Parts: sequence; structure tokens; C-alpha cells
Amino acid sequence: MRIKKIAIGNLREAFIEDRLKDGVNIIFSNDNNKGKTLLMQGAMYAIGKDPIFPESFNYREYYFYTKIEISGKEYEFLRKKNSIIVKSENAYQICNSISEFKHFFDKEIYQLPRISKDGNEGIVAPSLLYELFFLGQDKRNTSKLISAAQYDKDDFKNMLYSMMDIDNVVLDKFKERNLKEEKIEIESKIRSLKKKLQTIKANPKIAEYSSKNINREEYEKKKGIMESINSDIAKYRTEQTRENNRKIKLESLLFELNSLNRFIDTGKIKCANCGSDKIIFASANSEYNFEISNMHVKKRIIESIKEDIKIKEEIIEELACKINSEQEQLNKEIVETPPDYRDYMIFGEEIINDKQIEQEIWEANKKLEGILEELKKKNEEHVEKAEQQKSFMRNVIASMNSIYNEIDENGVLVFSDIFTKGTETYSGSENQEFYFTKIVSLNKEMNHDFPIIVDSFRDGEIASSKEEKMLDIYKSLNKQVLLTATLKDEEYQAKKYKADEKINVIDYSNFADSKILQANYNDEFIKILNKFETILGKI
Amino acid sequence: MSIYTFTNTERNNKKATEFETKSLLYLVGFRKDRDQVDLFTIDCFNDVTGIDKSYSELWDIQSKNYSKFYPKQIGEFLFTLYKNHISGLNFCCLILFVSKLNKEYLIKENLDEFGMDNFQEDTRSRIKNGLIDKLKNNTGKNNEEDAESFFNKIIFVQDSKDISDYIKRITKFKDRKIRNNDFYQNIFEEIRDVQSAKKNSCIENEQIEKIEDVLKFNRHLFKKEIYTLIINRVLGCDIFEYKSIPISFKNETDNLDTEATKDLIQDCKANLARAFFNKNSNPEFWKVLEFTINQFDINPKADIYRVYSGLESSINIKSKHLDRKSLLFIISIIKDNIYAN
Repeated sequence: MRIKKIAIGNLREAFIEDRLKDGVNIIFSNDNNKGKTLLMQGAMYAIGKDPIFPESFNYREYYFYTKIEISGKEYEFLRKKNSIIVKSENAYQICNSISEFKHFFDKEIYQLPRISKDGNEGIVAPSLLYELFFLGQDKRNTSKLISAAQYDKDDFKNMLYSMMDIDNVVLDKFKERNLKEEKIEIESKIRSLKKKLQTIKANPKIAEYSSKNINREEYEKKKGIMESINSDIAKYRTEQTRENNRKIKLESLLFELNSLNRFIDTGKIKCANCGSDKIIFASANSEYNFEISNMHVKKRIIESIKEDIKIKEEIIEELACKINSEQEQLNKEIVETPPDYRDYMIFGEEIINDKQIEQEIWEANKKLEGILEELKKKNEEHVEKAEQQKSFMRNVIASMNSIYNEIDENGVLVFSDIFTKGTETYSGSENQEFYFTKIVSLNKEMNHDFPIIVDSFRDGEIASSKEEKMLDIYKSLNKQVLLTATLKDEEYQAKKYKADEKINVIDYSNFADSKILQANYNDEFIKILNKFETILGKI
Repeated sequence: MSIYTFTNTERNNKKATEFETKSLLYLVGFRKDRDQVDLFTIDCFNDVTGIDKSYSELWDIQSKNYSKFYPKQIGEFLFTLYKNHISGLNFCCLILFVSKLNKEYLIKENLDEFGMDNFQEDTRSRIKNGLIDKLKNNTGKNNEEDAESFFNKIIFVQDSKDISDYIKRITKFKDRKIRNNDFYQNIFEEIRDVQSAKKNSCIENEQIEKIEDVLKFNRHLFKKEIYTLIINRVLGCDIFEYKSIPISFKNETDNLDTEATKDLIQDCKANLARAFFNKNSNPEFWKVLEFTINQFDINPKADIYRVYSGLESSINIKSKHLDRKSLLFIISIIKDNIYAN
């Protein structure tokens, strides 16, 4: 994969970067706040990464565009909020959620790794994949993942194993027993809470409680917030219903097709000469010789419909998660209501308990089912795969240590994992060295198809001699590497990097502070938007 | 203890039919002059005979699949081809399609296609004698002189390819997908079965005056039917796999919101799946595909609405599944996925 063009903007201001080349690129400036991070994060956000932007930048108001080349084909991505349009040479696709996007990406662009999570095997979100080759400037913490909130570091390792085709799941034998106990506990909890609810409902006067003491203005504000959450919930519910309708339609189509496809079981006519069961009546006027489809085609159609149904199920589940989280937010609002709004409080108590129980049962059941399924499926091949995984990890770590020694001969660190323990987070130059050795070693051991992208690659005051060695290693990778750096005045004056022919240098120093987005890019940016023409109205 | 052993039964029928199909596909895909051949007759003039669009030239193939050939036997197998050569009809090409020959017979053993001059001297004369002796036995005459012009014309083709190679070769478009062998095997078998069924009628002693009269026996297959068959199978396998909206279909979705677009695409795909499963829509759907493919053959950039209105005026479509939107959808898919490559 190669990044060819990045653009960010709206109708008022924009910026376009199309000077990127193969090999090592360094975008630098003589001061901070010139927009390097915005560009790096924007490029990744357009292709489905979770947003990590500076607080002051309201990314929801902008379009993010990235053009990439992958496996010899070009794709253009245009994202606003959670909708992404993907355009290839002769087709386009609108994805209204990251889940939809990931399925499309997986099917049409690049097959994403699969990992087991909570017992279900699923495609990883793009954000997790991008941790493999993208390092942002902010939120670095060597003991965990930077982005990809729903995943943990074991998921990341499992993803690596999946990409190396040595995936397996390490199971905790006691998990099953613990979960069963948890379930029994929740079941009894439900019973007691249901009783409580009944008591509340049996006394309707509680709900009619007067609200005359309420501060009107505060009340309206609170009401507004809740109404907005409620409208989001309603929107997700509608989406969920439509997906569900589509799923039901596909299921009945499957039934219909299967009944059209039925053979007579009592026997088949066969050609006595050649044994074929395709006997046709050859009338003198028959216009068409071939059947409209064969068993192979029919089987493929049935399989694809089943696959589609599975994707729909996943989308429906994702929407259920969103509804749950909005519901939680609503409940939180209710809890935080001042004591004066007692009617709300009483009403809220009912909702909180009800929803919490449902949520807990739902989660526990899901967990349990998953674990049982997982135990059954994976136990046998477990040992062998675990050994392969260990050996892979050993190689990566050995490579990290050897690269570390190469760039820092006097260094005292010894790495024992691709994440540090929670208690020993590296900072400063050690942090930078750790990430450098990790990202390069993973590339070396996996020989993956992606570029290397590091925002602020000398963060932590890396010594010049080390930096030179790091750059030599980057150059030796023979792939696209995008780096950003803020130069000190004396370095900038000395035209650092410019002497190196193998590095494509791009200077952002001339932009005014925090003003990378400018009106003079607008025409060019509108041309990009125009490529997406009328589809644009839909995101 | 065995009492009686059956021998000389036609155990090789399946293999022989398969070989005839290979020879037909050779004519469709491997010959330099393949574009001139428009249709094929089965078991009329010979096992397989190609005919051009204006019914003026004939490509004649005799196929023989033996594990071992003797030179004299090869000569005898040329009998029907020779008869056609002197028949007065314009046979522009005469081919004996055989399994791999003993390499000692040949000068350049690796050639797939060659004339008499590629046989070793003694093999060549034994082949010639084989035919001349057979002619003497059958006609009582010595035809040596006539035979010489025949020997200069006859072409031998050795089969060295897998079934899937024959189908892949005639896939006109650039197929992006890697398909397993079953896919090709199935198509091959379908062609084989149709070819085999063509022989069920009896035409012994029937006569024709002009080449085109052969059509009345319904023992022919048009080349475009084979192309349509392959495109049809690709479409059938992939119809639910196309995850993007074809760009040519964009006009249909422009005024819809995303949810309605998704519903429309799913409905179109469902309708097409029904068409692939429903035998009653067989002739209609074939006509639709054949017509559409023909239009894009003439102009790969043809407008989908033009193709659709042409379709509407020339085919009486009764199936309710093949509605306007579903037809526009399949036309767009053919244009964007098959012809755009």
C-alpha cells in the first residue's frame, strides 16, 4: 500500500498534500502547530481509523480525503464523520458505519485479519490493523494500544498471528466455570430487581409527582439533552429495523430459492451412454441449448446470500451496541438530575435498573456462549499453534533488541515483549526507540504490504547520531515511509535532510501558526469533492 | 470363476465425447483464424465442423482419442476428412485432432499443430499407405494422385491441455477472480452434454443442397452461445458478491437516500437470483443476456438506457422478476464488470 494524496477541508478552507513519493518522506517545520499531525491523523481517519485530533479542531465539520494504491489498484476515500465513500476506477460504495466499511474493505480492497473476541471470530476494525504501521504523536503509551478502543494488546497480538496464519486462542480453563457462576448470579439479581420494579409500578402516584418546584430553565436544558439522545436512539432503532428487514428478506429468498432448487428424491434420469444426469429434450425448434444456471452457480448464490445474512447480523449487533451506549448516556443524565427533579429520579431508577439488567444478561450470555464455542473449536490445535506464536514473538523481540543495539550501542534497555508492562512505561527518547524498533521489527518479520508512518519521529530528543542510524534503517526498508519532525532553529538553518537525495523533504515552515487549512486550496479541493459528485449529498 | 467376459463394449464413449468437445473448443479458442468461425455442426459432416458467417467455408475436425496410434491406423482415420475434401463443398481446413502421438513418429515432437511434413519419412509413407489402402478397399480405385493434394492440406493437432485451459482460453474478458477447477469443469461438461444430446436425432442419408440447409437438423451450436454461457456462469456465481454499486447504475440511485439505495440493490440482486433459479425464465433470461452481451460487443461503452430500450422493444419479457430496475442493474454489471476490463 502507498499513500499518494491527502486532503482535508470543507467549502471554506482546505489543504492538499500530493508531493509524497516512494521511499522515505520527511515533512518538517521549524516550529510546532504547522499542521503535520493534522495531516497524518487526517490521512488515517479517511481510511477508517478512530479519530485522534487536537481538542481545538472540530473534525466533524471537515471532509477527509486519502488516495492510496494497494495491490496495483488505486482507491480514493472520502470521509465525513462516520460515513466513508470509497471510489475505485469503475465503482463506488457508500459506507455509513465503520462496521460496514470494514466489510467492504475486507471484501473488495484488502482482506483484513480475523481474530476471536468474546468467542466470536470477526474481522478486525481498521484501527487495529493501522496500529501495525502507524504511530501518532499523541496518546503514546508503550504498555497499550494507542487507538482502537474496543481492543486490547492481546487482540493486537492475535491479529499478528492471524496475519502470519498462526492464529489460535489462548484459553483460560477456569473462565467457563466463572462465567456460569456469574450467569446464575445475574439470574437471581434479575429476579430481585423485577420484584422492585413491580413495586414501583403498583404505586402509580409516584409517577404523578408534582414538578412545580423545578427551575424552568434548567429543566428545559436537561430536557433538550435527553431529547437529543432519544432522537439518536430512535435513529439507530430505525436503521436496525431496516437492516433486520433486509435480513428477513434474504432469509425468505433463501427459502424460496431452495424450494425452486429441489430435486426429485425418488430417482434421477441418467444418460445410459455417458452417465450424465443432464438430459435435455432436443426439440427441432429449441432456441436455446444451455440451461440458465448450473449447480455450481446455484450453490455459489446460496452461499453468498448466507454470507450476506451473517454480515447483516453483525451490523444489527453493532447498532444494538450503539443503542445500549446511548441508553447508558441517557441513564447517566437521569442520575445526574438535581434532587429537585424527583419525578425524573423515580422514573430514572426504573429505567436504570431495567436496562442495566438487560445489558448485563446480554453481555454475560454472549460471553458464555462464546467461550463454550471457543473451547470446543480450538482445544486440539491449541498446543502446536501456541508454540509457533511463541517462536514468532521471540523472533520479533530478538529483532527489536538487535535493532536497539544497532542504534544505541550503550543502551541499557532489554525488551521482552512488544508492549511494556503497565508499570514500566517508557518516556522520552526510550519511548521513541522502543516504538521504532517495534514498528521496524514487525515489518521485518512480517514483510507486510503497508507503508510505515510515524508522526514526530524524533520525539523525545533523540541524539543526532541515533537519528542518522534510524534514517538509514528506514531507507533500507525499500518501502514508503512517512515521517514528520519539528526542527530546532539551528537544524533548520543548516538545511538538515536536504543534502540526502534518498529523502523526499517537504517543508511546512511557511504556514502561519495553526493555519494549514487555507482558502487558496479551495478550488482544487472542490475538484476532489466533485469527483464524488452526487453521492456526496448522502454523507 | 468367470463364465463370460464382456469385451468390445463402448466403454470409451464418455471419453470420446469429451474429446470431441475439446476439439470444438480448440476451434473456438486456439486457431489463428478462429474469429471467422461463427457456428459449429455436431456429427454432420464430421465429428465437429466449423462454419463461417456467410456459410461459404468449412473447418472440418475428426477427433480420435487413443492411447496408442499406429501410422497405418492414422492414415485410415483420415478417411472421412478425405471424403469431405473431394466432396465439392469448400472445406478450407481439415484437422485430425488426436491425443499425444508417439514422439518417435515426429521430427519436432513438441509442436501442437503441424502438417504431414513433421512426420519422420517412414511414418509419413505408412500413414499415406494407410489411407490409400482404405480408399482402395472402399472404392476399388487407386486415388493416389488426388490424395497428394489432400496430404498437403491436412493438419494434425495434438491435445496437450487440461479441460480448464480450453475454457479459460475462450473467456473473452479479463476475469479478475481466481476460480477453482470445478467452475471450468462444470462449464465444459455442460457444453459436452449439449454436444452429446445433439446426436440423438437420425440424419443418415439425409441430403442438403446448400451448407446453410444443415441448420434444419438442429445439430448446430453458435459460437455466441458458448460465450454467453461463460459470461452467464460468471454473473451467476458473482451476483451477490458484487459489493459496490456499478457506476453506470448511479442515475437510478441518485434520488434515493442511502437506506433506500441499499434496499434497491438488494431487491435487484434477489430478483436476479430468482431468474437464475427459475427454469421458467430460462429462454427469456438467455435472450436478455445474449442481447446485452451483443450490444456491448458492438460498443463496450453503450449507454445502459439505450441497451435497455433495445431490450424492451426486441424481447417480450413476461417474468415479473425481470423488472426494469433489475434489468438495468444486470446491464450495468455486465458493462462495468465485464466490458470495462
